[in-house]
This record gives sequence, C-alpha cells and structure tokens, in this order.
Amino acid sequence: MIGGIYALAAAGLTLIAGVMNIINIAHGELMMLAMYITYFLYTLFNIDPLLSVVITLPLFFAVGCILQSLCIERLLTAPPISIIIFAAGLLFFTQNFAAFWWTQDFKVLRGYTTLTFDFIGLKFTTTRLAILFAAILVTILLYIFLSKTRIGRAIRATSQNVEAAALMGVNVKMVRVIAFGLGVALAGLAGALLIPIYYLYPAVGTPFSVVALIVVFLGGRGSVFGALLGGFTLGIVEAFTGFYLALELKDIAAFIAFIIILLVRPWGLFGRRD
Amino acid sequence: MGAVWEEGLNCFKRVKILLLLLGLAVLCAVPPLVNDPTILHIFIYTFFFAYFAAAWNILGSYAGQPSLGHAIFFGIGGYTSTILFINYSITPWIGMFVGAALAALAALALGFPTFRVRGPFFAFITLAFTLLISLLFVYFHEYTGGATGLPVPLKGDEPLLFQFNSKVPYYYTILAFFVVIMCITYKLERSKFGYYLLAIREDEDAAKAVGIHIFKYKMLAAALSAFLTAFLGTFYTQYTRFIDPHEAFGLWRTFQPMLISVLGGYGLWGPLVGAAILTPINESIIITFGGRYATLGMMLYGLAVMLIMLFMPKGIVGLLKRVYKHFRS
Repeated sequence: MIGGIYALAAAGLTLIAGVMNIINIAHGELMMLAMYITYFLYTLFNIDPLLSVVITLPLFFAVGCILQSLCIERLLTAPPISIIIFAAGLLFFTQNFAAFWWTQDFKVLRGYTTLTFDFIGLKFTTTRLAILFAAILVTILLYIFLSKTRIGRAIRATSQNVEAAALMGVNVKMVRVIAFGLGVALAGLAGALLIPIYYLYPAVGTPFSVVALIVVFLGGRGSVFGALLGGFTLGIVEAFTGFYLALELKDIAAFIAFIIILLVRPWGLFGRRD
Repeated sequence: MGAVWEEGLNCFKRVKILLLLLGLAVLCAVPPLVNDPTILHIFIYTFFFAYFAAAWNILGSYAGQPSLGHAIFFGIGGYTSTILFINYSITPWIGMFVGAALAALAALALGFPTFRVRGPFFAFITLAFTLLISLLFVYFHEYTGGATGLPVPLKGDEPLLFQFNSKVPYYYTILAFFVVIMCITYKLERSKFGYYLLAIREDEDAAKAVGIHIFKYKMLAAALSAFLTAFLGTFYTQYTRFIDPHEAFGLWRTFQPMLISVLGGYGLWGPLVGAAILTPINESIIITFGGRYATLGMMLYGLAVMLIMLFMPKGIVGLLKRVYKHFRS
C-alpha cells in the first residue's frame, strides 16, 4: 500500500529533476510539512485527512510556484553547487522549524476510523484501501495531464530538450514554475495521504526522500511514468522483504539495489542515457 | 622600477608571515589568559568546526562536490579509535590513524558508485548513504553499542591515552590539528592537484577535454578529505568521551561543515571565519537557553544558508573582499 505513496513522492521529484536537471533534496521535508498540516487540520478543525487534500494540494502548488519564481529561477544561472546548498539549507530549515514549533515528539493520528475486512484471506483496512485508490487515481490524472494537455506536453518537451522546446515556442520559464509547483504539490499530496497510516516526527521526511531518490534512479531521471511504476514496484518488494527478512534489512536491501543500479545503469532502468 | 616592486612584494610577504606568526602566538597564549573553562570550550569548538569545514572544503569547495556524507567519515574516526581502545587497549593516538585510513577507504568505496553521478544528484546520494551507515551502526550493536552509543573508558589524566582532565591540552591539540590542515590547504591551493580540482569544479567537460582524469582526482580529493575528517571524529570522541549514532551521523553533524563553509565563504580562510562567527553564537544559545532553542538556532542557520546563496554566494569572505576592493578603487 505504501507503494502508492512512494510513487507519488517519486513522481514529484522526477518531474522537477527532468525539467531542470536539479534534484530537490528537501522533497521529503515538504512531505513532512504536509503531514503536519493535515494532522493539525484533523485534530484542530476535524477535517478528514482525505478531504483536506483540497486545501493542501493548492497550498503546496502555490508554495512550489513561489519557491521556483523567487529563488530557484535566480539560482539556475549561478554555479550548480549553489542550488544544492540552497536546497540543503531548505531541508535543514524546515526540519528544525518543525522540531522547534511542534517538538521532537512522535504524533499519531488518533481516533481515525479504520474498518477491517477480509478479502480472499487477506486483511484490508478501509483507510489503506482509500489511500491506495487515491494514489492510483492521481497517477491516472497525472498521466492524462502529461500526455493530453498542452501544458503537460510542454513539460515533457522541456524535459527532453530545453533549447528545442524554447525554439518551438514553449515558455520555458513558465513550464519550470508549473513543474516545480506540481512537484511540490505531489510531495504535499503524498504527505497528506501518508498521515493516517504513519507516525509523524520532524525527521520523518528524509527516509522518504531517500526512497523517492532511489525510485527516481530506478525509473530513470525525468521519467514520470518510470517513477510511478518504480514506486509501486518498490512498495511491493519492500512488503515482501519485510515479510520474509528482518524488518531492519528491508531498507538495506533497497540500498543494495540502488548501488547496483548506480554501478550498472546510472541513467536508470527505463531512463535515457545522458 | 622592477627591483623596487620586487622588494616591496617581498616586504609584503614578510609582513604577512609575521602577522600570521603573531596571530598564532596570540592563539597559543589563549589558555593562560582565559581561565574560564566555558570560554575555552568555545575556543576549542571554534577550531573544531573550522577544522571540520576545512576538511570538507577539499572535496566540497575545491573539487566542487558538496558532500553530505562527511558525517560518515567523522563517525568512522570516532568509532574506530574507541572500539580499538575498548577491545584491544590500543591508544587513540594510534587508533586515530587507523580510523583515518579506514575513512579514506570508505570514501573510495562510496565514491566508486556516487561519482558516476554529477553535481546535484551527488549531494542527495551522499545524504542517503549517511542514513544507510547510521542504520548499519545501529544494526550491528554488539560492536558499536547500537543506538545507546559507546562511552570511552575513563582512565584519568593520561596524555598517552588521549585523555586529559583539563581542557587546556585539548585546546592545544585541536589548535595543532587546525594549523596542520591550514598548511595542507595552503599547499593544495598552489599545487597541480589543487588546480585540477578547481578545473573540475568550474567545468567538468572542459576539464575532461584538456585531459584531466576526473574520476581519479575526485576519488583522491574524497580520500584526502575523509582521511582528515576522521581525525576530528577521534578528537571529538576523546573530548566528550562518548559517541553514538546521533552524535556521529545526525542531521547537525551532516550539515555542519557545509553550513560553516557556506557562511564563511570558500577558500583558505572561509572555514575559520565561518566557525568564528557561528560557534560562539551557537554555543551561547545552547548554554543559555538549552536544548529546545538549539533547534531554533539551527532553523535560523538553515534560513541564513538559503539567503546567503541568493544574495551573497561567496560568503562573508567574499563580501569582505568586495568591500575591500570597493574602498581601494
């Protein structure tokens, strides 16, 4: 079930990576912020986490657009190192921001109704199923957006070749803003969907960043469909290794796969060679 | 005319060396002048952070590979010397070199897959590896003490075992470390190796085109940087007499050298300037307000890094240079 979350997070990360050839190291931290916001919307205003997506999604899209147009756009012309350090600063800032305002304590969404039912011998909870369906729905919508709409095609064109896209009359700057906004919104969505089934603390985002990074490399940098596929695959693989092997080893298995990919196919399983 | 110019330049150089020696003498005279252990502690940490940033700089700034993996090398240094001391009673003075050698090997092992990926992806992957190593250190708890960490067995005032009762010897040790790393960096800046690294930083394709073996020099820079970082791990463990995964591989340790380098600005003096500004602020926040406000401080450093990247990417040293040039013309 968590594969859907991986898919969403990785899709956001790879979208940005494809359009600008940068990688947002603070991606998981944005997810973490969305988790906190969803958590407080539920505990303070009693808004259902699945419903609060209506608030978090536009909010995070706006945050992404603002970040891109005010900060990242300026840094694109600077030496490449500055953008990495900027993102690292963002990570460090957000994580300590959360630790300061909301303390290091673990938080769990309590009292959220979960119905369990059996289906062909497997136990399912409604929350997990709802999350899975939401993830699949968004995946399909994203697919339609990227392949059928004008902006979606412009995003894909830009990630294939910036100069060629610009020559074809694509407003590259606009595409970057939308892609970054969309990437951040996807991180926010992943966070909002994750909170009912997960626990929350300021550093929760970093492991998800790492998983998203692994998925991005699995699927090939910039390939959104690769990321979606890779996310679901990794979720299933993790569920099985966690089931058959020790729980601690499940992360290590993913890492070993990652190292092998870096050594053998640094451009990803489904990606294009640079 | 030329002779006069030459003489003037020599004179300038001599003045510079004199000034440096004078500065060093003042720093050596700090412990007798300052009797307060708290202030001495801040001095120790200033050089500690400056050393850390200087070691990071070799890979992070000269070679332009902003690593977030230096906590790994720091941890390897601290853990190796402590494990050797506990299990085989080898003095940390020797364990320090074993740790450094292991850290250099680890850097080569990590560099082998990660240097296949360029710039932006590199930092992220090194961060991922820091998390992995942290997991491994918790997992193999029979050697590393797991999440609870390892205390250094107390032996009293034993200079041969790198244990002192007073802070003064620690101060001279870290000062000596710092002077050594400054000399190494100075030499590096003027060596062929240093120029190769700069070329790689400025333009990898161009560097490759003129025949620089990029992969080899990145690996060498990583090994040197890791080797020097590991010494600091041992020093830190001996100074605080404790190491655990959080101290070794935590978020703060991971970002420390980068924050200081970025704040101070790259180059020879950046780390010292960055550390001299950041450390007193940081330590006084912790001493006066305690733990929770430490995260507030770190939050502000994160913000500061973002702003510096946007408005003065060359750090404080770069800013001072610009002001100096402005006044001269």
